[in-house]
Order: sequence, then structure tokens, then C-alpha cells
Amino acid sequence: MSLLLSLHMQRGEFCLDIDTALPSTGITAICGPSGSGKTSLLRCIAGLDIVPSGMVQFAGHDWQTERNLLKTEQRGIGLVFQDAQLFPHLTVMGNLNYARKRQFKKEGPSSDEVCDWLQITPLLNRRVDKLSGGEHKRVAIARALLRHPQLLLMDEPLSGLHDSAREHMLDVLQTLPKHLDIPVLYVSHSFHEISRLADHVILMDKGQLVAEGDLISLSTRLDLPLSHQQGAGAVLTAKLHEHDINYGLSILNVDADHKLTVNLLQTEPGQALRLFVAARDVSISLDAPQQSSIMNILPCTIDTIETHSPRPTNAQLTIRLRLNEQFLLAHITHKSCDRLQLHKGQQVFAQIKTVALINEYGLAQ
Amino acid sequence: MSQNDWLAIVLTLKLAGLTTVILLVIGTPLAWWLANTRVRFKPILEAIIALPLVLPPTVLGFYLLIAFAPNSAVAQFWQYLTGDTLAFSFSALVIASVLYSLPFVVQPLQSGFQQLSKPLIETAASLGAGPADRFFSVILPLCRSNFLVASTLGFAHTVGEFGVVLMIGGNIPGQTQVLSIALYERVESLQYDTAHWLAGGLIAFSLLVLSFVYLVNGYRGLTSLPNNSEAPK
Repeated sequence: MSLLLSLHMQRGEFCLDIDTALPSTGITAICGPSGSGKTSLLRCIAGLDIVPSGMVQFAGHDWQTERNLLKTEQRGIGLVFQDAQLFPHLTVMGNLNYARKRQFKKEGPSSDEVCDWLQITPLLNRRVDKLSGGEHKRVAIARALLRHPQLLLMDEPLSGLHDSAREHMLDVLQTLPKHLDIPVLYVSHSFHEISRLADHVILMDKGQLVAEGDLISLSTRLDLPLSHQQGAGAVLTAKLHEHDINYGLSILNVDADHKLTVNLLQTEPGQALRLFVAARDVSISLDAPQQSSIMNILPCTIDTIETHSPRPTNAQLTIRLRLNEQFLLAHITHKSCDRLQLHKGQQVFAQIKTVALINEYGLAQ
Repeated sequence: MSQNDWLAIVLTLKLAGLTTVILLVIGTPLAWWLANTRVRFKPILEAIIALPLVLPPTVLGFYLLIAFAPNSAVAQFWQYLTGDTLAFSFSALVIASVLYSLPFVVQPLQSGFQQLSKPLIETAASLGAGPADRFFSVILPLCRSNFLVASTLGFAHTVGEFGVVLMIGGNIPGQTQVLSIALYERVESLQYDTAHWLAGGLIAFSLLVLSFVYLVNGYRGLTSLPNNSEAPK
């Protein structure tokens, strides 16, 4: 735990009320509805906004204390704004050199490496106004990395991209932890992005910290807004058990009693994996269906049933299902819930239509 | 043209050059402050800076004449600092020109600074650039055309000065006789040949400068150029 924050401020309607310590490794997602203070928090950490009598300490360095206040340029941060903010009077190369000439640390990745990771080598001599949206963002991230920061701050770096560019960026971002051993704070309101990138999650609302924890446990907590979002689902860890070459499938162990079958993976058996199961892809059956094309049918126990809003306006409810140590979420209708007379503690079968592989879990650590 | 005419041309260029440099040094921080401050009296300050745009130059000239009179506090202070008298000196012309041309430098700079993207400056800070570094590496290049317009206008407007100089400068060749005054004197003494050279030269020069400014990037503030009532009367 190495980023210590104590920030309290009241400015008109808006307040910030944070006391926490954030992990010094991996990607920490800061999420919450707009106006919840995510960006303000990031700006305070960067030193762009100063909360009077606040405290920001990073890795034992006082960035802001009662006696000491480091300016933004003195803090070892890399910052990626929503809209990239490339210098329009410089080329791509010029933008990268701007950071390189002002490196915070001598040691760190070289230009060539960073350009390779972010796939911007062909763009180096381009003018900034000749770049696409996704290219802008990749150059901005590369520039922040070439500063050789101790901490990388990203404020919704994928906003404004269309779906395919966003997926491409997620693929690129996912590989970054493999290359870097600096902590990343990633502001986003997209659960999809968070589920693919984050190890640790901070949920904010109205300037306060609502919940904090690892992605896997927070994703299935029904008391948090994450589980009610469109595209909500459970993040699971599993180990690759074996490949079924004949059918082009791979078998994963969620735990001793639960196996999942997915399309053939390129990974070695024994590898830890992170999976995502969307709540809308899970249906519930009272007994094990013998004749179904769905392969992944797991016995589980109903842990909680949560209604998020009164019936007439919302036909759906969320059910949390326990698989030994881990959980699944299912979105089903009130009607089905009543028809099957589902209740807490009941033994049921979860039929899972799709399992998405997020990443090779070990790499994200 | 006589030697005095050439002296007037050299003096005018010297005055305009020095005034422009001083104006850039004073005007840049002033414009930056105006572009970013939220103090309540900002409109009043902007109005004061813009006054030379609307006032007859003789008004400013009149007050400066009083301020520069040998027994005034300003003149006494100046004498204490430099050992020279202020009245009818080149230094007095420089001070007057700086005040008179201030809006022509401050306004284009201020509008440039106001259009700068704040996150861009913050990004520069996050990349390790301190305030001076940010000014030279980001602000100056991005506001290049504003600086160009500001210095050109400041220079050209000082060259075109008449009323203020007439009031405070006297008419000492090589010291305070600038081009516009020289022209006035030639006309008074019916030396129309020389007057044609001086007047035509000024037109050509001004046309060149203004074309250059418009070329730079169609700076919008030019549309608010004051009617330059400085022509010799």
C-alpha cells in the first residue's frame, strides 16, 4: 500500500471526502457515475488541484503534506487525459521527445520499446492533426510512459473511441502490465473496460469512497452499482485443466467441483486465467438439464436475490450464485423467479451461454 | 532628403524597436494575468489599458507633459534614478510610446492566451516542464502568431505616433524629432518634395506591415483597429 490519500474539500455542491491507501502494483480502476469525483481525485493526486490541508504521499515521498507541496512537474507522474492533449505544434516524435527530455527517472523503457508496445512506430513522423482518435490516445500513453513516471494516471483514456478502436486499445493496454512495474490509476465508468484491465477497484459516489477491493469480489457484490449495470457480470479465476484437441475445446477448473468448457486456448495447462461471465448469459434451472446444447451447466447455491427497482418498471432482477469460493451473477425476470419459486440457499443449476476470457491472470499482477 | 530626415527615420525605428521590446516584456505577463485572473476589477483594468484606443493622443500627451515637467514628482524621481531630465528627452518618448501602444500588444496576446487549452499546459506540467519551460516550449510556439501580431502592431503603431510626441517630445533633431513630426515640419515650411518622400514612405511601410499581419493568420482583433487619427494635420 503506497499511495496514501487524505483529501477533504467542500466546494459548493461538490465535495471530496477520501481517506485511503491504494496499492502500489497493478491497475487500480477508479469508477463511479459522472460527477462522483473520480477526475477530481486524479487531479489532486497529480497536483493540478490542491485540496487545502490535504495529504498525498506516494512511495514514502511527500507530495502534499502540511509542510511540503510538490508541484505537478516535480511529481513522478505520467498523465493521460481523456482527449489525449498532444502538442499540436510538434510531430508524434516531437511529442515523445518532449517527455524524453524531461524524464523523471533515468531507467525505464526506451522509445523503441514503448513505440512497439503501443504500435505507433509507423506514426512517428506524422503531424498530430493527421492521427485518428485511437492513434492520438496511443501516442498520449506512449508519451506519458516515456516520462518514466513512478505512477501512471489515466482519465477515461478510451472515451470517444468507437467500439473496434476501443477493443484494440484494450488489447494494447492489457499487455502494458507485462512490461511495466509501476502502479496505474485508471478512471473509467465502463465496467467492460474495468473488467478487462483492473486488478483493484475503487468505487466512488458523491466525492466519497463507496467500496474498495479486488475486482473479483467487487464485481459480484449486489449492494454495489457494478452488479446492476448494463453488461454487469462476474469475474472469475480458473486454471486451465486440459485441451480437448478433437473438438477444439479447452477445459478449465473453476474449483474442485466446477469445470468450464471454452473454445481452444493457446495457453499451457496449469495457467491461471481470468474469465468474465455476463449476468445476462446465465440462466437458472432447478434440475440438471440432460438434453441441452449448453455445455457449461454448473451446480450452485442461490446466495442472494436482489430486486433493483419496483416490478412494473423493471422486469429483471439479479441473483448471486455461489460456486464454493466464487460467485456468478444471473439476470432473470421476476416472472421466472416467481415461477421457479427461487429462494436463498436453494440448490440450482446455472446454465452459462458464453464465457469470455479476460486475460492470463498471472500477467495482470 | 536632408540629414535631419535620415536622423528622424533612424530615431523613429530606434524608438519603435525599443518600445516593442519593452512592451513584450511588460505586456506578456500582464496579458497572461488578464487572461487567467478572475478578480472583479478586471474590466476596469482592461478599460484603462484600452484607453489609448479611444482617447485623442493629445489627452495622454497633455497629462504626460505635466508628469514629465521638471518640478513634478515623476521627473524628480527619474532624475534621482538616472541623473537626466525627463522633459523633451528620448526616454520620455519611450515611456509615452509604451503607454500609448500598450493595448496593441496586450490585446492580441491576451486573446491568444485565452484560447490556449488549459489541459495542454497541465499536460506539459505532468511531463516535467516547470513554468518557464512551459512558456517557451508550449505557450510561445502555440501563440506564435499572436506574438508576431502583437510586436508588429506595437512597432507600427509607435512609428505612426504623432499627437503624444508633439505634446511631450519637442522637436529636437536626432533626439526627439520622429518621422511624423519631421513630416509636419516639412509641410509647415512648404518643403513638399521631402514631405512626399516621408509621407509616401510611411504609407508603403504601413501597408507592408499590415499586409504581413493579415497574412500571418487573419488575426481577428485587427477589425477592431482604431481609426488612426495620427496623420499630420
